[in-house]
Amino acid sequence: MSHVRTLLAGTVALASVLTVNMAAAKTPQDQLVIGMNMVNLTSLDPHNVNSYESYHVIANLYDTLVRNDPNLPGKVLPLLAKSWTVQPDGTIEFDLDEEATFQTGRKITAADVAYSFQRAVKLGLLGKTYFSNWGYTPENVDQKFRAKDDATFIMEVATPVAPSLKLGALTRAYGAVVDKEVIAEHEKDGDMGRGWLASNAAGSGAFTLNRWNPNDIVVLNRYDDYWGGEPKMKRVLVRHLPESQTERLQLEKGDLDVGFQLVSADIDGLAKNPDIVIDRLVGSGFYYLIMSTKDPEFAKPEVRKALRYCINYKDINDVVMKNYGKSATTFVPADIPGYLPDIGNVYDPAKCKLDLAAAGYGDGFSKQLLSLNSTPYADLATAIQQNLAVAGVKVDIQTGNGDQTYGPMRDRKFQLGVGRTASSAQTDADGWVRTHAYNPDNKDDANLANLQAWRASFELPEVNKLIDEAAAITDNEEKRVELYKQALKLFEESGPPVIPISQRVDPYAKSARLKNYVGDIGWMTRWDQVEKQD
Amino acid sequence: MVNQIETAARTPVRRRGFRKYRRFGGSVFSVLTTLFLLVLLTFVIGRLMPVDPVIAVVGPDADRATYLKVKQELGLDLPIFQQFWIFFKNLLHGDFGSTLLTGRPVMEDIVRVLPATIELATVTIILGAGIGIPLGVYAAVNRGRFADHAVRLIALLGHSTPIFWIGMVGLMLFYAKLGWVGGSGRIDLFYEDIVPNVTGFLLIDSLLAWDMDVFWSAVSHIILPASVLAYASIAYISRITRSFMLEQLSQEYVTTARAKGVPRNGVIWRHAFKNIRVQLVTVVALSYGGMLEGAVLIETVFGWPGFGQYLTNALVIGDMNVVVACTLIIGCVFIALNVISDLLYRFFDPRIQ
Repeated sequence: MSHVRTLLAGTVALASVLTVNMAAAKTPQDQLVIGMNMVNLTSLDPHNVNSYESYHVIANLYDTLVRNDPNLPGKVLPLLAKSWTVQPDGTIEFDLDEEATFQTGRKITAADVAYSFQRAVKLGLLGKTYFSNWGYTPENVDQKFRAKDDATFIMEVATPVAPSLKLGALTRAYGAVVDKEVIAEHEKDGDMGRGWLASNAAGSGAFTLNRWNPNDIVVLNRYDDYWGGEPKMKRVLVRHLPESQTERLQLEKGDLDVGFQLVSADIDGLAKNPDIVIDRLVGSGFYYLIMSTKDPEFAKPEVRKALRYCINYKDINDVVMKNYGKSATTFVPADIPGYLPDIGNVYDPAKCKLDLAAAGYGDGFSKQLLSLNSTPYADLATAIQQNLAVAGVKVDIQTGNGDQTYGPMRDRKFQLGVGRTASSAQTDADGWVRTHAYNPDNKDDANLANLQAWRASFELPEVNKLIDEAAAITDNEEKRVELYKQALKLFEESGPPVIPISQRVDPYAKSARLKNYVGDIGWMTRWDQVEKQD
Repeated sequence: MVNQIETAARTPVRRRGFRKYRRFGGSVFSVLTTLFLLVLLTFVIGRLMPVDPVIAVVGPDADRATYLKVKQELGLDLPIFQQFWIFFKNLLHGDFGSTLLTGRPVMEDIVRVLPATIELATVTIILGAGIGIPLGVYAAVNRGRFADHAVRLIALLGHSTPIFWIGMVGLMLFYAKLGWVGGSGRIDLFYEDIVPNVTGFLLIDSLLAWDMDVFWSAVSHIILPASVLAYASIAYISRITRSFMLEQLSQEYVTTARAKGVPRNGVIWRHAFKNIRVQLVTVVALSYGGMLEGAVLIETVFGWPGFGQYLTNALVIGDMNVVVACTLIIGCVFIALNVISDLLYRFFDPRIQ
């Protein structure tokens, strides 16, 4: 018995010591502490990333020529470029800010900008996407991106593309300017620093990279001599928190200042807490239902049109998609020029049933629906299954991981699927319309898997033509926007095989102590001006 | 003649020595074969799994050209046995390769994540064995009484309640509500990078640097996950200890000792318990080994940047370099634990030479 008593006494003593030493901690005044699931943070090379998580970190290590106006989507503000002019042929001439320096203290020159964009294209990785859409190739970039003098960078035209479209896109990570001298020191076998830059930084941002341990932590230190003014926070710590509930507890205790990727229930719970503010970043993709027109039933436009009436968009958005998306009827968001207010989704189950019967499917049919096995996809799939059952369409849901779900869609071997376009966040209608409705080559071996219309094996030459024409207009914004509207209208009238359900919303929770924390629509949220109140 | 006698006398010694070496060589060979088969099986199963690591690297929206380029760069377009051969050749040179996802050397990552897990597992096993063994002995001695039932109930609950649930409830109660312990992670974030990384074990590093703030922060963070894990291991260890002890207590030598008038505690600890130490060492060693790979759920709930989480993330995306390296390490850890328990057997049981 004496053993047990000693043990008990020891435990009590230890517990009391711990309690005294562990008063609840609040994050320090000069450190910003952020929690997120870092599984998608796989690289810190600005020219080889496309995830929400990496963009947030990169926005603070690097500067871009221009940046989004956080308060006015669609407007770009100067950053490294203090001004720019557009030549009649669409060439853009950027005047660099003379004050701007890299973290080594070296002045940023036009040659660095040219090198950065050339690098994005020549590496041929994720950063090249937009540049190659605009006709830039590894062969022509040395000529097209060039320095006129140290302070003037010239971006020549490869294929005609609206300058505003380019400017909007250059606000994103692949528009980051890297220090070519630092990279040259770490280059191996002509890899343009690819190996090294994946886990190091060579930029001009407000913070320096102290440490990145994948799936663990990112530590950023303030760069005291930041050319844009000294950042308020001494350090920014980003922590891998894969479990939403734990993240919520940490936020409530004041151990975290910002929390990303919280599940819906935790967002709702935190919304009731006066010390927490929930912000919602809108605009980085759409949740959609996709039908393969290779399927004999979905090949018929009348079937596709009929099914669209079966879906209860309002209930889905109010219940299933709450905290994940907001109702969307077409593929251009409401605040972007090119938005069409009067067309799109209408819920009318009776009409759905009648139209389907008129198309010869009074008894319905059975189809397989692919969905990710995570929230909200699986719930969205279930809701659609219930909606379609009203018209006798039996849906067998197959859930799986990213590869099992998107793999067959990329290979065009599926019937129905739900998904989300992930990285098309931008402030120009072009990206939106192109991602969902454009398909210039409907052959299987064209491999245009990043275009949803191609995945659906659906080609409308008129729509392609309008999109191409619109993108090529360099001097008339109104006309350009009008053409996107026409393309969208045509797509909608054709009984589109890709139906928008919700526009992606990325909710995040932040401490009410934070000042000047403004989320960026393009995920390039800057932390340099963030402050804390007592 | 003298020479002959000398030779005859020496030969058996030599033969004995040779046999000893042969036995040793045989063990090494069997260990190496086991490890090779482990690598081969893990690699083949991993490659046959329907996961595409390329998607994990490029994301679902990348265009085909990028996808194919990355696939080629990762060597995933080669036939599987060629992939294995390349991997195995590198392995023989001590190169575990790089993670597909981040391109960082696997060994570098493992050196970073393993101490976190070993630290957690060690504190856990100290708690688990330190509490579980006396509890098991206590229950056995009080067989059929209230104390025995209470211990068995605690053990049953510990064994049947999902560990992540206990972890979550523990966090809500002791961290969120009472504020007695730290939240997730190994340390309060703002203490990161304060003490130099010497051993990788934060408790030791903070003491070496004599930074008590960091030390207490590390203690406050490890105490809850270690206790939760320890609860499961207390449940297991106490049950096993109880049954070992019951067996011993029913032996005649115990009755004899009692009849001789040996005090109660003497009978329990000096006679009966002494005889179960060898078996307990195996149980404790296996629990410890299991914790290195099996603490995934707790590592996830507590945001503990450890080995289990690292391995699980790699498994999910099919990053075979990581999976094989981790499997090998786990294999080696179990072999090492076996060797250590063998040594302890010799220490505890004089009959074993």
